[in-house]
Amino acid sequence: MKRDDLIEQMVSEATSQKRVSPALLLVVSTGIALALTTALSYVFAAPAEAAGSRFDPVFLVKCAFVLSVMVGALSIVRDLSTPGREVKWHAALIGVPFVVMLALTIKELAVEHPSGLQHDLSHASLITCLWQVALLAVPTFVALSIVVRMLAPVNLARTGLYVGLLSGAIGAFGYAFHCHENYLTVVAAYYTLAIVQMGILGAVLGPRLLRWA
Amino acid sequence: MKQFELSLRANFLKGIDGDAAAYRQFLLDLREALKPHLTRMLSRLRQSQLDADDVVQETLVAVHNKRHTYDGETPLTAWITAIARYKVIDVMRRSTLHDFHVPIQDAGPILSAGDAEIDNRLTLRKAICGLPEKMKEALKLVKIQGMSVREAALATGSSEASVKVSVHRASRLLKRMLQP
Repeated sequence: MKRDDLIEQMVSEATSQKRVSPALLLVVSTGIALALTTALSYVFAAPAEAAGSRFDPVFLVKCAFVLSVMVGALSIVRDLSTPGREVKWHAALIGVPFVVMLALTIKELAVEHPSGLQHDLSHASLITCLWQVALLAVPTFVALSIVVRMLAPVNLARTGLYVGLLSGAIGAFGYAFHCHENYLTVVAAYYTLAIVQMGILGAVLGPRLLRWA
Repeated sequence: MKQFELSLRANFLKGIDGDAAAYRQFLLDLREALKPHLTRMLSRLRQSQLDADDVVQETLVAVHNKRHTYDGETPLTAWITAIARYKVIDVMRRSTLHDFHVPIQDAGPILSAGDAEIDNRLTLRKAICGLPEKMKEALKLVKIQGMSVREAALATGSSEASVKVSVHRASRLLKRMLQP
């Protein structure tokens, strides 16, 4: 194909096109994913068990933690989906919720000396948290990967990492309605691992899933 | 440089709004600007064996395919440079051809032909197997299954320009591979 033929071909396809706002597209898709995941976790799990403790301070900390990670990851995914856009200082903000959780954990361990912590901190409950968060996060991960691929990410592993963290945070939000962990130490450890596992999955799969032509 | 950014951006935005003449001018200006830039980039990456014209074509098609996602806030030249870098990496990855092999279950029709025919078919099949996935698919749909470019574009979810480029590049690569 001659080079001028290619240009004429592209010109012939250049009819008026509605521009897509990457930020709007990502915010809307994340909002839908968050709503559907929450609804899904209500339908398929057993919310009655956790109903009594739903609005206690630990539950609110869980929600604040995962929602902050979600907002931070969303902002970075938006930057990474636009070629030439630098991921600026606000990328560091995603670390803030993790640092806050670490501080709360240290306070709980050093000051309050919780007695039932060892009972809650078990191998079985960790595994349950990890797979349930992953289960809730996978539909979001797939949907967001499709949306991000429609944009133009150029650093696929890094974009995949943040799409994974975003999906993991959404999955953890759904899981927060049903988990029985009452200690911030347990929440910090389990939720961080659950979100990070999705981030690693995203970084590994990103180069394949997000590749566009 | 600023003048170039402004004129390129003006033509690009008019092109997105359906102004064919402005879009043509944008593509021509971009092609001229990309050639030396990509040649330098390939040379810096010690990939001089790759054809800069091919990477220019790939970048033009990528910019064309993703034009509706341009946010208007990022400088257009930065947007295009990042896409060009992505395409260079993509082309470098695809340039490593896979090992040639014919699956045993596909060997039946080949074995029923004469010796020369067997050689020709095997050689061609091996060469097609060695093409990068995107080119192989476009070639198969258009040249073997007889689809039109439009049908192949719909089937693969890419633009007609992209399919045409893939078929053209596949044919050229096959020719190069089959030369004695």
